[in-house]
This record gives sequence, C-alpha cells and structure tokens, in this order.
Amino acid sequence: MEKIELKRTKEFDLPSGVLAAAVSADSKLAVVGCLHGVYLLNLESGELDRLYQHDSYVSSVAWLGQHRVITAGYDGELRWFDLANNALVQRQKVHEFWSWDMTVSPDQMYVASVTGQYIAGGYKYEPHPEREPSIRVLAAATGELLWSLPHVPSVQSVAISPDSKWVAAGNLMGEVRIYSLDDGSLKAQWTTPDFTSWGIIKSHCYLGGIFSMKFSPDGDQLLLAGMGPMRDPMAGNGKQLWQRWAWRVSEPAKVDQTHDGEAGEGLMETLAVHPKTSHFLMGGRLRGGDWNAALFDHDSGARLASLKTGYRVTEASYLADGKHVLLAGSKSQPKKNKKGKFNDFGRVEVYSF
Amino acid sequence: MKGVRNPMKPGLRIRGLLGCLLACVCFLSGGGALEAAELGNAVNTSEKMTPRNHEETVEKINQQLQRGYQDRGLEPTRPCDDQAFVRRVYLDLVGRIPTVAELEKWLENGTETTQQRGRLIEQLLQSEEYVIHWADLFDTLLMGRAAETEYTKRRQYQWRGFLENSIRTNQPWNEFVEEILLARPADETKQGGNWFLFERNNDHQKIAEAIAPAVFGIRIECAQCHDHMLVDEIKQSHYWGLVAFFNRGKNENSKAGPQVTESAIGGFSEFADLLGDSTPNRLTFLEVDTVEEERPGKDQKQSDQDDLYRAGGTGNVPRVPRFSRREQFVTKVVRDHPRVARALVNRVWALLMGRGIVHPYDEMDSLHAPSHPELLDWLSEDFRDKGYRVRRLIRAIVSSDAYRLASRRPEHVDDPATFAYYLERSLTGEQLARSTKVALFGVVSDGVVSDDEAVNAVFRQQFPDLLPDEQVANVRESLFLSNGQKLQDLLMASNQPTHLIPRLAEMETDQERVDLLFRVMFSRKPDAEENAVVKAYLSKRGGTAESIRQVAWSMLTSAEFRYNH
Amino acid sequence: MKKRQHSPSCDSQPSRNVAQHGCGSAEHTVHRRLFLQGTMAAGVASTGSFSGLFSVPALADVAKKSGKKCILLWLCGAPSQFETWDPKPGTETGGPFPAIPTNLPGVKVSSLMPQCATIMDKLAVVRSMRTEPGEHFQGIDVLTRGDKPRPPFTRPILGSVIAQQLGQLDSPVPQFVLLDPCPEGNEFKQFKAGNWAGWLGAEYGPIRAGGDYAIPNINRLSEISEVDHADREMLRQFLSRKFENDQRSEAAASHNAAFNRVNGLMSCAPLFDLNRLPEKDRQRYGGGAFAQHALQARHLIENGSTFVMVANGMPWDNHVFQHEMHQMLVPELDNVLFQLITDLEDRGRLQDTLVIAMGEFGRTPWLNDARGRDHYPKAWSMAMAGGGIKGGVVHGATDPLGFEVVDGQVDNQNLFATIFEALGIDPHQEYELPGLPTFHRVENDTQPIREILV
Repeated sequence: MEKIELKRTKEFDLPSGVLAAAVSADSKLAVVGCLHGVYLLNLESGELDRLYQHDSYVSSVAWLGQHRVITAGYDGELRWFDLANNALVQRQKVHEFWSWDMTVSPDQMYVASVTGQYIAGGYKYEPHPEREPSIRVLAAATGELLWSLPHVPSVQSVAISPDSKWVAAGNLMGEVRIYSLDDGSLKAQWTTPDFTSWGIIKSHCYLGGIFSMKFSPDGDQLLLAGMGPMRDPMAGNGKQLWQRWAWRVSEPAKVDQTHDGEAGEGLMETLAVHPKTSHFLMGGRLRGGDWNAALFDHDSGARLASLKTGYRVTEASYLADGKHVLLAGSKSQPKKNKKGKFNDFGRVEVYSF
Repeated sequence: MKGVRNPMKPGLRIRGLLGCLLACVCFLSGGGALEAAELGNAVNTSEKMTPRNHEETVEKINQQLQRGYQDRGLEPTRPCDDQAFVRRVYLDLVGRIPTVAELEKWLENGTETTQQRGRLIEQLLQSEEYVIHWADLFDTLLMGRAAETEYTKRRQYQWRGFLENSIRTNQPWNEFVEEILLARPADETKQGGNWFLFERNNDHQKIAEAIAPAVFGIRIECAQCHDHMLVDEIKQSHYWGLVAFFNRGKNENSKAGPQVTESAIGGFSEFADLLGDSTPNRLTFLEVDTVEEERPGKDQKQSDQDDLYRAGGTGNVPRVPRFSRREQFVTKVVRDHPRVARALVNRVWALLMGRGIVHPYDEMDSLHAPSHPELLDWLSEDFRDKGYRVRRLIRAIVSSDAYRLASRRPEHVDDPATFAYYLERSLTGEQLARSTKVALFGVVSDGVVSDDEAVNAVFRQQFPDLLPDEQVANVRESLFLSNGQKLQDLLMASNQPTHLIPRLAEMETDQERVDLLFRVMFSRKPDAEENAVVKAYLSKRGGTAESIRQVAWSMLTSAEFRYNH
Repeated sequence: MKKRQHSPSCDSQPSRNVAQHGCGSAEHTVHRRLFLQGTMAAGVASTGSFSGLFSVPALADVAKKSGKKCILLWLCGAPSQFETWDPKPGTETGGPFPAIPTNLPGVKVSSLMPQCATIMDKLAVVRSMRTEPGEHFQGIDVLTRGDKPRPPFTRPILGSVIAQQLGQLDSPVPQFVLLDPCPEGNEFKQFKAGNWAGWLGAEYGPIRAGGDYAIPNINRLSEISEVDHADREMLRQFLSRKFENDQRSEAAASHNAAFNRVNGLMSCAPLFDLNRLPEKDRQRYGGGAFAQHALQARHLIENGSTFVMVANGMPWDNHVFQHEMHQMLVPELDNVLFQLITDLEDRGRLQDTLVIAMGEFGRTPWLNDARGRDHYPKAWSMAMAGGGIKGGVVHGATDPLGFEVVDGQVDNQNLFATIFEALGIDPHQEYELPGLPTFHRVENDTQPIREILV
C-alpha cells in the first residue's frame, strides 16, 4: 500500500561517484563525499565547490555545527574543515586501514569511526581477529581519542543513539556490538547471519555484512541494512534487507525485517530515520525488483513508498523540515567519452513527500 | 580353418519349432527353429525364413576371416578350451560369469561341436538376462554414461523399458531407430522412446552429435567449424544439416509423459567457417539428396499458423507440422540409408569380437579402412535383407570360428585387426557387478539390498568405459578395488550358508577350498603352482573366514576376473 | 562411455598411452622387489607408511631426483591489476588503495602487497599482457593451455605438458596435482570437467585434491589390517602376473601397472593431509584454504611431484564488492608468494622451481555500479619467479590510467613460450600426430619474453 508519493524536486550531477552526503541544518547546503574529493553543494543554486580531498575515497561526511564539516576516508583519516574560513583545520589518522563509516553524535560531542580489513583467519576464510582497534571514538571538537573499542573486522557501519550515550558497530559477519560512550563498556552484543554470504559457488569466503545502522528515535531499537545471503555473492542478488532489533533487553531480539513481497534484490547501503514522523528510508542498489530506495513505516515495517532512481543510492538524509529527503549515490563509472574524459557519475537528488 | 557343419536331424528340428511356438526361454536346437525364434514372441509365419540361413552367415564369416589369414600369410591360434568358451559366451550374451552349476552343466554337455555350442548360445539368447545385458550396452551406446540421477530418469520416463522391450521382441533395428528419431509414439507403450531426444534437453547440436555415431557410425563433431579436415566426405553442411533436421524440436512435459514437440517454422540460419564465409543451413546429410524446403526471405518473418499443422491430435500429444523436418529425416535420410546397417553390424561385431571391422567402431569414414571390407559389406547387406534382426547377427558372430579362438596372442601375430586370436577386453561396470555377485552369492541379486541396481550403480560409475580405443586401466579403479567400501561390503555380505565364503569356511580341506575358488572365480581348475601358493596362503592363516575373504578379494580383483578373455 | 574424452571443441584422436609396465629401469626393479618381499610373513614392518617408504635410500633418491618443477597459483576469476602489480594511485581508475615502493627503485605495487614489495628482486612482473578472450571459460582455456582451441587437437593443459616432459614416471607421487577445494565455480567448474590432458592422454591429467577432494579410496579401510591389505595384494599380484605372463596379456599388464601405483599413492596419502604439515608453516602461510594448499604444493614438489596447480574456485571475479574482496584476497596472495619464494630459496630449490601467479585476464579500469570491476583482457598483469626466470624485472607498461598497453605488449603465446623456455622445454617442438596437421607446443614461432629469462 503505497501511501506516500515521492517526487523529485532537485537533481545534481557530480563528477565522481558519491559515497556520503550530509545536509546542513538550514537545508541549504550539502557536503558531499565522493570517490575523489569532498564537495560543497548549494542545494538552491546548484553551485558545486570542491573543498578538499582525502588520499583515497571519501566514505563519510558530517556537519559539526553550522560551519564545520568533518569527513572520513579510506585513507583512515578524519579531517575537519572550516567552511567559514574555507580551510582544513585538522587532520588525524585514526586507523591503519580505512574508515568504513563515521558518525557524529546528536549532541555533537563525539565522532565515532569504524575500521577493519578482512583478512583470512581460517580455512573457511573466517575473519582474522583485529590488528588494530576496530572502533575509535574521539572528541568531535578536538579530536582527542576517547575510546578504542574492539570488534571483529571488517566493521562496516557505526551509529550513535539519539541520547548520545551509546555507540553501535556492525560488521561483515552480521555481529553488532553496542558500547557505552560514558565508560566504554560493552552493553549488548549479538549476531544476525542474515546479511552475510559465504560464496558457495565461486568464492569460498565471506561477503556482505551490515552496511548501515540507525537507532530508532527512542533509542531502544536498532535498524540494520544490507543484503540477504546468496550462494554466489558475485551475482549480487541477495534480498534488499533491513532488520529491526530490540537491544536494551537482556537477550537482543529481532523485532521485524523486510516484509515478504516488499523487496527485490540488491545491496542496501543506507538508512535514514525521519526526525518526526515514524518512518525510515532505506536505499541502495536495484539488482532485481522495482525499487532501490523505499520508505517503511517505523512501527509496522510496511513499505510506504518506493523509488527507482537509476543510480545506486549510497546515502539518504532527511531534511530538517521533515518533508524532504536527500538521496545521493553513484552510477557506473563509464569508460571515457570521446573527449577522453570520464562523464559525471555521481548524483545528488532531493525528493519531497 | 573351416567350420564343420553338422546336418540337422529332421526330428530335432520339428521339436525345436514346436518348442519355439510355445515361446519364452526354451531349449532349442537346429537351424529352422532359430529363424522362427528370430521373429520374437509374436511369430509371423509369413516371414518364415529359409533354413540354414544362419549357417550361411556363419560360414561367410569363417570364410572371409580365413581369407584374411591367408592374405596376411598367417595361421589363427587354436580354439580356446571349453571352460573359457562357456565363460566368454556367458559374459557376452548375459553379462556375467556362469555359476559353478551352469559351468558344470555345459562342460558335461561339451562345447566341441557346433550343435553343442548352438544349444548354449540359444539358451542364453532367449533368456531375460540377455535382454537386460544388451539393454545396458545399447543404453550406454545410445545415451552415454551419466550421473545416477539420469539413470533414474531413464527408468522413470520409460526409456529403459522401451529399450528392453525392443530387444526382448527382437524388434528390427531400423524400426527402433526410426521410432526414437521420430519421437511420435504410436501408443503409450512406446512413450519411452521419446527419451532419446528428450534427454538432450533441447541441445540440438548435442542431438546431432549423438545421432551421427549411434545411427550412422560416424563422428561429425569436427565438422562444426569447417569441413572435416581429414575425412573428405564429412562436410560442415552435413553437420549443420543434421542439426537443422532437429532444431525445430522442443521438449515439453505432458500428462502422457515427456514429449518432443516440433514447430512448423523456424530453424533457418547460416553457419560460418573459420574464414568467415557463411552458408545457409540446408536439410542435408551424407549420401542423400538434400530435402528441399522453402526458405524465408531476408526480412521475411514466418508466422506460426495453425494451417501449417496437421489436423487432429489429442490434448496430450503435440501437434505435428504438415512438413515435419524430423519426419523428413526419418523417411528421406534414415530409411534405407546404407550406413545404418553397416554401423550396427560393426558395433555388434566390436562388442563381441573386441574390435570393430572398422576401428574405432564409430569412425566408419574414409580415413578408417575396414580390416575385412568384403565381410563388412556382406554382413551389412545380410543384416538389411533379413530384416535388421540384431539377435540373429549376434548368434551368427558367436557361432563363428574366430569367436572361439584362444585369447593368448600367438607369437607371430601382433595386429588385432586380423582376428587371429580372441581379443581380451575389460568387463563393463555392470558385468563386473553381476559377476562379483554371482561369485560371492551364487546368484545375481546380492541378497543384502533389495534393489539390485545399487551395486550396479556404484560399479558403472566407477568403471564407465565401453568399447574404449585401447584397454588402459587407471589408478582410480585399482584404488576403488583396494580400498573401496563397496567391494568390502559385498565380501562381508557373503555370509549366508549358500554363499561362497561360508561354503568355503565349512569345507574340511584347503584343497577343496582352492578347487571351489578357482571354479567360481576363474571357471577353471588351478595349475600346480597356483594350487600350491593359494593352499599355502590359506594354511598359514588357519582357514578363517577372514583369510578366505582375502583370497576371494585377490581373485575378484585379479586381471583374470577383470577381463573377458 | 568412450576412453577418449571429447572436449568442447572437436577432438577425435585416440589417447596415446605410455606403457606403464616393465620399463626395466633399476629403480622400478627395486620397487617391485621391495613390494614382493612385502609382508607375506606376518609381522614385518608395513610398506604402507610414507616414512617407511623413504627409509630405503634407493627410493629416497628417486623421489628427490632433481629436475625442474612448477607451481601455478591459478587466480581464477581474474585479479585486478590495479590492486596488485600495476597500481595507478590517485587517478580516476586507481581505486582506493595507494601504492607502495618496493626494493626495486622506481617500481611500485599496490599497498595490499607489502611483502612482495620486499622481494621484487626475485619476481618478474609482466604488466603488458594483452589477450583476446574476455569470457571466463575461453579465457581459462587459453591461459591454461596456451592457445585458442584448434580442432581436432585438444591442446594439453600446461600441467600435463610439464608432467609429461619433466615428470618422473617411477615416482609414487602424482606428477600433476590440482589443489582446489571448491566443487562449484561456474565456468571454472565446467572447465574442470573437461579434457585437461588432451592429446597427451589421460594419465597426464591431474590428480585432484584439496578440501573435500581427497583422492578417492586412498586410505586403507579400517576393517582391513595393514598386514592383510599387503598380503592380499601380494596374492593378487601373484595371480595376475602369472596371468599376464601366461596369456601374454597387455590388458593385464596395464591392470597390474595400475595396481602398482596403488601402494605408491597410498603411501602418498600423508602428502595430501594438511594436518601433517608443520603447524608453524601452516600459520606462516595463513589460515585460508588457498594459502594452506600453496604450502601443500611446496610440500608436494619437494617430495616428488612435478607440477602443482593451486586454485580455490573463482574468488577473484569481483563484479560486485571489488574492494571488499580484494582487500582480503590480495594480502593472502601477497603472503603466499612471499612465503613460497623465500622458502624455496632457503631450501635451495628456487632456481629449479618456477612459480607462476596469474588469472585468465585482468579487470576494468572503471568501476561498475555494483562496487565492482568487470573483465579486461586488453591490459593486465601477471608475475613469475624462480626456475629460469630473471628476478627484479618489470616487463612492459600500461598508460597512466591503465586502459592500454603502451610498451612491450605480449600475449598468451609469448607467455607460454617463456614458461617452456624457462623450464628447459623446447617451445616450438612439433607434436607428432600421424595423419593430422602439424601442431607445435607454441604456435606461429612466437618468441618468449627474453627480458625475463635468465
């Protein structure tokens, strides 16, 4: 039952595929993390400025107040950029390997980044234990290292609770750990096998995992997104999947997941939770079926709206007014065009509902 | 070495005829009865053959091979002894070694005279075991070896039943071939015949590549990309022509079972050679006129209209095109094609004599000359003229002098194509399974599992070869025999009083044991050296069941058991 | 059904088999005498144990006979040259991994290969491979046999040629081993079911092992004691040899020769048991199946095998999750190559053992929309080290974005000519096939890559 209709109101092309995007509090600007740089996009005028770059792909971006932006990349670094002065103010290497995901706490006190290189640890290619702490929590303002927390690589997604007290990290094997930001203690831990494949057909190793996580508005539940298991991960045809887990109980329990018939196939890479009304958005790749971004009712889990965007959605972010959502992503990087240059293959769009 | 012809006694002949009219497995003697027997259960008196025809065929074989010896200036080796003959003919006709009782019975009768051998041959040819064994052989030749799931389907979808029935009723080979190629069963008893095409799963090239050797005795794979590089008469157009005859076919499952439908349109294309030149695929094949068919124009699209199909037909049976390519193939190409008879004759010859008159048996092309061209010509014509009866052909070959020769290669002969000595060959998987069961249990069923097939299945997967170009054993087989669970299980299952191992254990002397072992396993007596060695082996170990099993193992896995010689 | 197997392309010649019996050599006689002495009397030490076999000096010499050998690390699915040997960091096509310097001045490799970076002086890297097939089955066919199909000739696979040319007939150890635990693999699975030895004949095909692929029936059944096993085999031999001689039977000779190999193969069973490898070595090579089998390959080579091909399905074919997979696969390969080459060198075997690491083509410079790279035969890389190969050489180059080869272009024929030359096998030798057109080991008189030959 499609209750909500999504209408595209804005669209922008970017030179490079987009892996991350975040909208300013006043909804006028978006900082966009691309494979090859960090851009500032004026959502009203469409003006695009390249601010700086990391030494590799930019994997996450976040706002720090109105004037600062913090980004993380596959170079394992966090960088702070001051928009007012148009200057890079700080950079810090927080991981040996790359930052898969980064988030800033709602109270803007903490920045958490997760890492982990999947290394063969056993005959069946079980992951090797971490060679560096998988989770780093720093003071957002200063970059001071507050916590180094353990997990099993590769840890691909991180989330902080609405009350800024808990940090959750999810990995390749579908294991979630939730730590306290106050004292660094482990509060909850569970594994869901539903996002991970072991390549029976061609690749006898693990693939997939949890690619995005978000806490529910009340903080008691955690949403996970990724792709359902496949016999041949190279087909990329796992189910478009989200799961909702209650974690504050003694035994974390799965509350709900994508309903039958409401999802096709493809990797889901992003989750966004509406600030006021009770729905959330999940977006990713359309490999099979008819959508690659969809809205779901937060309580019932029913699908409310769906979109076929024509590119792989890597980031979704609700605008503050609660009536729009920004989607960003990447098309296939084409071969060079006649002029010997690559065509633009990044996208940012805004939809109203 | 001329065979001695024994004139038939009239009294015997009449008795034989009566016996045959009563049908089923009967003890026959004499020539006329043989011909009548050839007509199968439903005796068709209008096709009564002239007597002595079988002998004429045997005589021709003997004569031609004799001429071959003379031309090459050599003498064939001596005949094999009685017990070797009995073992050999049991293996070739019913797919297993004889039991001790059977062996002793035939040795008592003797096998020196044509008549005596004739009785043995006839009894085996009229048995149900003959049907099963030759169905095994033809199933392998027509369908190929496959995984066990396929074997299950072949039974389930009645292919196996269809094949067995054809052999049992001595159906003419040309009739059988036409049925499986047309795949339009006249009634439900013939439903299984569809499987020949159906199993190939709409792979029309696979169908063509299967039909060429099975029906015509030639391989055409090499002509896919270009005219055959070495065999002038096999052209690329023949390959694609054969494909075209079948490429309108499509598998369909119906209530009546698997069907192979045929469209009235489509199947037109071009084939390109390595130079890039392309040719339209016409309905053509070796040594026949091209079947004419209108080709659509370049941009013309064919529409599949109802009026292109014949009227009638029930819901379960697919409709038939007015112009059916498959039917054209059967009537215009296969029917009376000289290669059909030749291919079958050569194949049966190869199965019985260890090597085709043309070798390899399925490469009867200009590159492979027959070792005895006149004989092949004569036998093929004879086969054709006398109604394409396979059993008759088998009977003639195993009645020949050459079939009786010893297998020890004479010193002055090294060319197997002379048929101056009997060519040894390995038992098929099924023959090995059945022979092992006979040896260990005295009967063919294993008494352990109700499904006989289980043992056969293991052995046929492990020993898949049939008519290999050369007899080369491989290590996997030896590992299976040395360390495999299946053979061990069979040895352990020989545990009932009537089975071999307990019988041996019950005996009082090691000498008795050795005698029985050799009788059972090798159908003969041990010589002095063998006797001493095996006796000593047993004595040292106190005649325990375990040691007896070891000896049984060593004989079951020995070369002598493994081969037909 | 038929002895000779028909490859997907036409193939109609009979298999040539080498007589497997009575070669009359001294070692063979020793074998037979030992086995015959065997355990007819109870209580003698069994011949069934591997160590027992080699406590006899004569046999030990047979196994350690020197001669060139080869290990092929078959990176099926096709690794990305950008994430291995030919990185283009900081470019639109370079991917997320930086490049690192190596101990060869001016030469960089992907940051995923830190260990190989320290032994580039021992490796020869070819960055200018350009081949035709872009599809797996055809690519595998061309890059393992050396050339496109040319019916009716089924060109034997590299391992079969080397086993035939350099292998030891008398060795109980299989001369050509394929270690690949993955039973599936789509096109590779299809390829594995084909005719590998081609014209050379089935006995030059590989013995397959690895993971659940044990050599079937290689271990004695527990219900049969060692003594019984040996004794009954002695009896079988006695009866069968008698038959063979009395009957002058060639079939029996072949049969007996096959049984002769049983004890040898059984004695090799420990060679195929990963648990027998020293724990330290196993940890050093790494936990994954590919790494473990690479160690096993070294072990097999050291104990008498001539060619071992190591694969693990087709994990490199990363149309989806390119970097997520390569982040794990490349370091494993990196470590394996490092351990293998340094081990061989430490044991004085490197100059006699050729190590090859390659796939069937490379991967696209651009990313598709599923976080992956697709197939790319137009410009790709491979690496070799050891026997006959000059280390410290990088042959050829691609343009800055990795689209085209700009220098030193070579193809599969050049590569195979190089491999054969390195192993002391004549690359242009004719295959004698009576009645068939002429075939050469490497066609068109194509020349090896001289720069990387010693």
